[in-house]
Amino acid sequence: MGQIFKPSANSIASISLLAAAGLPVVLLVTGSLITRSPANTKAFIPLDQPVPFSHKHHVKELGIDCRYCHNTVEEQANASVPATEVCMSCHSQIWTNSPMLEPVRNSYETGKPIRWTKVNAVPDFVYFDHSIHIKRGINCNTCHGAVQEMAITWKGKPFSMAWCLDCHKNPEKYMLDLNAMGGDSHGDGHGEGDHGANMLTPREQIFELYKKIAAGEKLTEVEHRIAEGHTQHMLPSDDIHKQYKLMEERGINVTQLADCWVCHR
Amino acid sequence: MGKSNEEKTGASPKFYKGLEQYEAPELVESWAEDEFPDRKSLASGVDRRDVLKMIGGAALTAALTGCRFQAPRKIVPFVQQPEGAIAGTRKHYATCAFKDGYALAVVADQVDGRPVRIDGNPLHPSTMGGLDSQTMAEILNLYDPDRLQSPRHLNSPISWIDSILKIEEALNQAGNGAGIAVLSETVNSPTLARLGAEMKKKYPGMRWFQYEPAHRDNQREGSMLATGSDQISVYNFGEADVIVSIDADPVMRGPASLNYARQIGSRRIPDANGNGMSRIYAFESHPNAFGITADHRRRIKPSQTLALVQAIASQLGFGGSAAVPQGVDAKAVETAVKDLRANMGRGVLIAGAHLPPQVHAAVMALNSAMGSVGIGKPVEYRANPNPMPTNHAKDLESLVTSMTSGQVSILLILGGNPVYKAPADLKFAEALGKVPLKVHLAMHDDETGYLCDYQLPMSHFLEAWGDGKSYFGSTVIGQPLVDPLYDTKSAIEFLAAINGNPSDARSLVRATYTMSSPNGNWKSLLAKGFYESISQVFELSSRTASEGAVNVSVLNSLAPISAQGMELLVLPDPTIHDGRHSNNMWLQETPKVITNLTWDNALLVSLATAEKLGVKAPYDKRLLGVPYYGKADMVTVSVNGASLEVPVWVNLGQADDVLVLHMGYGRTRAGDFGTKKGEKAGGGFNANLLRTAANPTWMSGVEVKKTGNEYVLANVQHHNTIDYKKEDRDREILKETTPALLAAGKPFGEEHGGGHGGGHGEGHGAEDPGFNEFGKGKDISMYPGLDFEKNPEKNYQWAMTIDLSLCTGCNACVTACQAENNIPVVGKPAVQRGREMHWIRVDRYYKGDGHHLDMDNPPIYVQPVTCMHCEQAPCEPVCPVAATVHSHEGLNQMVYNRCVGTRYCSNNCPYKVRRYNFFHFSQRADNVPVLKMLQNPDVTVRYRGVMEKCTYCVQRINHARVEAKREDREIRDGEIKTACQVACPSGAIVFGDMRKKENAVAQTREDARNYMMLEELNTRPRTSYLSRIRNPHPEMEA
Repeated sequence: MGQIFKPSANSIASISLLAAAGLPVVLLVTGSLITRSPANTKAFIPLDQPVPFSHKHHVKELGIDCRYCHNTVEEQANASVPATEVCMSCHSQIWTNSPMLEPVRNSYETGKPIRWTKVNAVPDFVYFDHSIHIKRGINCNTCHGAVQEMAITWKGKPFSMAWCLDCHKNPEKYMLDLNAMGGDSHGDGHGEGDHGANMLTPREQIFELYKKIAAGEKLTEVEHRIAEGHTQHMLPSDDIHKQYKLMEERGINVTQLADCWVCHR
Repeated sequence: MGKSNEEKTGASPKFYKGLEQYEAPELVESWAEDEFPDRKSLASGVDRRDVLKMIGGAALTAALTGCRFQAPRKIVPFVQQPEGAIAGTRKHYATCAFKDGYALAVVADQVDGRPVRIDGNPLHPSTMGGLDSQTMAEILNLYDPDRLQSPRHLNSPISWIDSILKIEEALNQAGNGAGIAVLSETVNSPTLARLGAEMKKKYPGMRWFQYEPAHRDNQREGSMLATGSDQISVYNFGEADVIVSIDADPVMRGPASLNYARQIGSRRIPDANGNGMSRIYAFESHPNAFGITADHRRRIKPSQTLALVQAIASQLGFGGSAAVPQGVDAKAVETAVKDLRANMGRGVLIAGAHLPPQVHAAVMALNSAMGSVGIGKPVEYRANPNPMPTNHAKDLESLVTSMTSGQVSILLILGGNPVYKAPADLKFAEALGKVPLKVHLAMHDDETGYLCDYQLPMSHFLEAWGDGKSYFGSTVIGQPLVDPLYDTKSAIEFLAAINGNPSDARSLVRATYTMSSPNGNWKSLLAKGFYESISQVFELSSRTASEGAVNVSVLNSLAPISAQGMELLVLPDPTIHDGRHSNNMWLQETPKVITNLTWDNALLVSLATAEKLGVKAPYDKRLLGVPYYGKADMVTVSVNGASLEVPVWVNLGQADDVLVLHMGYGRTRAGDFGTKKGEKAGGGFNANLLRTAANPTWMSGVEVKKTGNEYVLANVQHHNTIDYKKEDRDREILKETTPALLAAGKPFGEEHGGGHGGGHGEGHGAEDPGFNEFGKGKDISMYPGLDFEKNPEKNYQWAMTIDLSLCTGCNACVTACQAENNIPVVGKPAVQRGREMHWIRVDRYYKGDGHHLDMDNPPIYVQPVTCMHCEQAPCEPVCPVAATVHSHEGLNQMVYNRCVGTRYCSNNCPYKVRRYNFFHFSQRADNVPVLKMLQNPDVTVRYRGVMEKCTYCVQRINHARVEAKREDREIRDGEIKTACQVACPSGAIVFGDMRKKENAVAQTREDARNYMMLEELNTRPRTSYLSRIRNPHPEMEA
């Protein structure tokens, strides 16, 4: 009778042992990568809509203020998705025969609402409030990505809890005072962008940036990063003390921000 | 356990949760210690293999429930946005609810077009901001899935137009209308009365009858005897120094109870010198909420009440020579008389609505004789503000007579359920069968609708325009918050329609009132909710100068009340009322005041009567180890030829030989929750079968016989019991004092610290012997200081204070919390296992002195208990997944998504305020579409397997915080009110930020009466209590 186990069995055994030790790690890492990937978070994936609405066209090319459509964003938890009549306020005059706008006209005539696919959603147990984020000067793009570049809207950020908490625990990483930044950029030979900028409240700074984008003005590096929705490492690290000071000036209470019941209840 | 009697009594605390704790403390201890006192019933027939199978299955399903892919959601914006319609925002509308035939001014909340909550209207005297359980639970009645949804004729569908045309045709055929009869509940709406009068012009012969069981016939007839007209007694308890209750419950019963609770509360806190507090004497047949508030509570039979009033009158020198009835504490009567004499014109009597008319006449006469009647005095007699006051019992009787003799050809029943609610001896159903055309307008397909030709669905008051007269005389306007959910009409719309008036209800209501300007006036009226101006509404124009109109001599010429044998009171249920809320699951599960029964009614008797009847008290030793607490013997109650088999419940403090049975149960057609289902699911017993037209509420000569059957009730009294261990016996959970002691710097009474009543101080030092060896424990901790101590200015620090002097135990907070926080109902079997989900509970205690408990008439105490939000919370360190953690604002946060359901936290909670969702109790809210609309969108609907508890209404805190930040300011004191705080009729709950000294809650925490429950555990609760103040007469024991 020959040997049951050939010498190669040794390597199989040791590989098996290694694999047994390594497999859980691999599985965990793979699992967590999948959950964080757009496959799960649906980030960066443009979603089909009944009307191929282009933020790029309306925001960047036409320069329409965000608040023209999302009109409660400064006052309420919900930013509001515009009623059909808001679309029709322009489109009863222009592009009146565009086939792309057929669902809009149809809705206006029949009184049946347009059913948009929700792009940016938080689970039901998360209670998000737009108004306070706007009040604090958190730019739309910080959470929604480069909306002015989206021909069809996609989710600009993963909207995972870790992503929310990154800012709620360290808001100094994301809070900007464009007044101060604008002052720095003054020397870059761009003279017009900052007149009266020192007077802007954090809330006003948000919408000032979109005006600049629409006007095609040159953006500072920081502004450019915000506009692109690059929130990671947005600030030079030596500015961190300035940032702490800014937090204090704006009365932001960091300790309390990451309490569970701020968002869940 | 072989304890000697002395040891046993020594181990007993001063306050007993129930008779059981006094008689069998080891039983109650075992309940408190054991997580599943009824595990035997749970585990019957389960072996080890089954357990393993179940564990495997549970693990698999738990894993699977974790994986869920949500379908992409849709956003559906308006086509044309109505002004002010913003998704997710809460709007408040003033509108009109009803209680016992009178209007209540309420404010209802609406989110995204659906009403979600009802609160009192603080501008109006009918509620003064507080609200009772029933009216708050009306929001659930609106969404009741069992509502009648479309018109039916002889059980087949019909359209509204067809039914109205046919009814109109029938009316026209009735000629002058001699055969037309209308039966409604109390007509309270001036518009309905106006339409009725118009209809009468068209059909002069028609007759209008009113009937509802919780009527004020006795008061009405009493007033007729005393004054010759129907006058209502409007009490100003704020002006009363001495209140003598003759079996009345002004804080929970009747249309004015919310106002009375607030006013009585305003006089229950003395000033720094111990003055200014009212004194309340309650002579009661059965303990009720006012008896808890009272300083002296004595027992009396209903039949003795007239004699008692006459005895008081004669002792005060108003003629007669009536003696104090036998069995009534003569010393207490004497003391009350002494007090009334010393406070002539500042003392007042009030009689319970169920007492015979003579008692009301005597009380009116005596109040008048004492000079207590008039503007600025403790009571005013005013004309009844209702547009069509009548005697309900006589109305119903004459209607039945007419029906039986065939005089009625068309009967329009506008609301109400007379087939179920009428006294049985009238045989209403039989008489109804003789009416050729019967039309029933109602919210449910109920017992009456079943026998009618037309069943027409009625709108809820939140769906329809309406109006009503409040008990205080002003006119409340009701505006709808939502279009009718179904194809329904209100009584006003229906009456107008069948009279060929097609106007909409809004213009019908509006036409009733004259406006100074066509639009502005109407809008401001709707904004505040009532017709009169805000300054007028407390100072009413409808006051009649009826002082002196009372015939005082009537006092001694009243027909005596004769009674023999046992007496039976049939009263509206404290939760589901006369049955109108039978299908309201919130109210079915709300514990009834004092008895803490749920889902059923029972015959309440005193201990002595129970022993006489040979039925066992619930603590019976035979019940040790029996799965359910609450097994009751059944008896047959027979009176006037009718009989009913009901379970018996012992209610300490009830008068001997007095039986109390509540109405509203034993329904046969009431929907999923209201219909009687027997022992397993509750539904109770129909007390109306015992009622007679002559004696609808009080009967004597009652025979009771034990049948040998048993019935299991669901009682929550011993659920969530704070653990009394022998070594901790000195813990004082409830503390009390008197005005004099308070002024003398003893906010917790004479023996504070000893923990025991008179004479039981052995082994205890003078200073704080009640605490353990670590001392008072205020600042003792091995842990580093908490954040808010290091940075006191940085964060708000929330705290709540509950004033035990003001709490009446009415359970309004329980329903308020249920509505606000989407708390599911668990059903009778789960309640029996102690699984009810209420985040706030009201504990009831009987006071004894450590050795002795007065089984006949123990002083009763109540204490609302909710999450204490301990700064050093014992629940937090034991959670393996950090699902309960502390916030920087001092809140003990519960994170539902982290919770894996170990229940260690609940086990470690000394206050037992955590609730575990054993099954998917919120399932109904998921599965029944209409109930989805009921949920408060600001609060997560919790799933099974998750622990939950009071959050201090964190959704309201967050909302206020965002608003304050948006406006660059701090949250103002009083800006945040928790749901229980808003609802509390007597204003016993204060909530706010305790950092600032000027804030109300900080002041209550500085109050000498402030104490923490189980302070010696060093949990440092944020919810604190103010000790109960009792104001007994110096010459008499409480």
